[in-house]
Amino acid sequence: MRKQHAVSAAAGVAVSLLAGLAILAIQGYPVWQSYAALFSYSLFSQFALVSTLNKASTLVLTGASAAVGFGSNCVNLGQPGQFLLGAMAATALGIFLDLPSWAMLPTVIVAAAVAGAVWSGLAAFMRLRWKMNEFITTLMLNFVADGVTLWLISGPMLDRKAYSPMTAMTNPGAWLGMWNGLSGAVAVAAAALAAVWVIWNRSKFGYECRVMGHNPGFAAAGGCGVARNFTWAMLLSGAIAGLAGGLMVTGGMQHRFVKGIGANYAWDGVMIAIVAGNSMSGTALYALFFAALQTGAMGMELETAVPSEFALVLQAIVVLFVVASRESTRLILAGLAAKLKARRAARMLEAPGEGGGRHGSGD
Amino acid sequence: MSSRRLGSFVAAVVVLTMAMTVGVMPGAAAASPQKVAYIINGGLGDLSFYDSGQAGIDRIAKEFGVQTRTIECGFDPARYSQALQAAVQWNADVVFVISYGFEDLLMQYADQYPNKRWINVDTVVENSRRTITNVDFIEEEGAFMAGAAAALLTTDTTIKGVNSDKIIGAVGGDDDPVIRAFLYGYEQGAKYIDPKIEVRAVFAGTWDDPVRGKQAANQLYSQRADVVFQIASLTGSGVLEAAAEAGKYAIGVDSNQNGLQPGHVVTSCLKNVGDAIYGVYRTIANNTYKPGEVLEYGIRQGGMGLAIDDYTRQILPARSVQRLVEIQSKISSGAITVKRYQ
Repeated sequence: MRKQHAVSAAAGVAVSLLAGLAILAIQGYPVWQSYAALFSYSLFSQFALVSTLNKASTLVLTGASAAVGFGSNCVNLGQPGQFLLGAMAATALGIFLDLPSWAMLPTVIVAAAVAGAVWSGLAAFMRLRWKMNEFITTLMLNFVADGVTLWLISGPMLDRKAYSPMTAMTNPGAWLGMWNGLSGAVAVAAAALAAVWVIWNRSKFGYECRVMGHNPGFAAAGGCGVARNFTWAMLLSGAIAGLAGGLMVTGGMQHRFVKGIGANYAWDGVMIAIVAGNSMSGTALYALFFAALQTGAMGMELETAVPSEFALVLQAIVVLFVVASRESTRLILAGLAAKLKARRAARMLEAPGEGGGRHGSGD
Repeated sequence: MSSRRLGSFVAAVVVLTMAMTVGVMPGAAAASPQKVAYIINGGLGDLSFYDSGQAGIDRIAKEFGVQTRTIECGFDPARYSQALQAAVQWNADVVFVISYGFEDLLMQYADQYPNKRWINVDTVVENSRRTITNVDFIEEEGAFMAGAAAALLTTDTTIKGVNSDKIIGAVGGDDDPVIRAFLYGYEQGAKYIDPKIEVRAVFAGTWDDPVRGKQAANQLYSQRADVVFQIASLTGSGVLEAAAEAGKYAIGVDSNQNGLQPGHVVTSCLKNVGDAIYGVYRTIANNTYKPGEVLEYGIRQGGMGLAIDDYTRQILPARSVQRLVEIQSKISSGAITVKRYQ
């Protein structure tokens, strides 16, 4: 299972880079220089690496949020809205509360997670109470969150001195530090991911969720509290997305809610969870890879004028290849394993007698 | 994948990084610049604001033989700090930046890299070292002209499709100080022609969605506005389209958009971002550049203006065109003072 994931992941990355190579060559860009720029602007300098890690810290969380949802058979597609509300909660508390850092930071960060959980909890409630499919409700709630936050930042919370819709800066007590450009958000995200990993892989709740994800009927028959687990999985998923939004405001350099703050983080997270097959460590690795691509793409554009949208092409190839080949990779690996086993068995049979020469010649 | 393997992956990355860190030091700016970056919060292809700036960058590349690069952020805040960093890492000597949404970041980068020339276009951003040069447009003056043109059109019922109501419209991208400045000037210009004119404004809330621009314009046309001034970059191209479809009129912005929907775009309120960028670069090239200045570009400086061409004359009668030219020279000479928004 794990080996299969690692193989398809490595193959996916390799295939995408090779396909990218071909695409660049066909369009007449300097291939090696472009790739060198892609990685030197994303990994091979202190700032580049730090930027990649900062970006990955957000993607890891939106990815984990989606993985918890999909992995427990809850189709939470509300990450964009949960993200925005998390960011808004962190901003609002950051502006209206003025406490010393040790009290302020945990409050603000927890509030962001709670805000995200409230938003996904709303969808969970509608599912349990009125059987409304969370696939639809979470998507629709994104529009509500988008509209409400846009109204807040261009109306009641608008910074009058700003040239575009954004709130004022939060109080410095709500700022995570920076070390040589590395945002404190990376540490918080890593801790959160570790906690989610433990819940997901080592707790009874996580186990039940995974069973629900694989086979909901079996989970119910086996005595899992499906409704209760559904609620908690939705809440956890929303809380992680909210946390990601909160860290955008507490970490980073801007410390305010600017228009479009959610960017494409949430959908990238959904994509990451899908390629990672809802595994937490896979989510972390793909988040790093996608973050590196997105960070390096801009450098590539500067050095060799390859449009930075090229990163999206690479991402899409990885996703398509890994997802499409997951089943065939499994079959190939299973086939190889079976062949080895058969060969070993055949040899065992041959060994005592004086078997014919035709045996063991492959096939 | 096991956590141990994850650990070794991270370790490998760190080691590689340390091995390959090629110190990208902010070198002192060379006497004559080699590399010019143009960082924009939005995207090219709007046939308006960002493209006007790009025209200036292209002119710099051609005339001074420097390398230029444009970094588009596509209104994605995730890319703002990356764009600034990429320009630094690329060793740009001169950075022109349209910094809506990341003014704070620009200040921090300018403070951190004082040897680069940072030129902020369209807003005023002052860092603590006062090294950012700002190009500020007096939008009110150009918009005054647009307002006057709109008023001359809506009060002239002999023009095809113009109704008896004295209502003119405007579609803005965001409700922000620069758009407010445009509207303030637009209204003054309209009232200068006829104090009874009513101005109705709609904010689309986006700069890159022509569909929303079209909806907003149609809303204004259905409220009996004859002409709609678009102040919304790419969103505004939908306004021009709506005018053509409804048989009404529109006014373009930033670049000359008169020919985009012939017969329906009366005129364009020019904001010569490209000329301003080129002008600032010329001072750098001939060593008269002073960092930290706020350069004001209005009608007199050629930063703002009105695009009057054959497309205009096709719609407006000669006396109205004559009147617009007179107003323009009066603003330029100071005979008409246009009040500033802030």
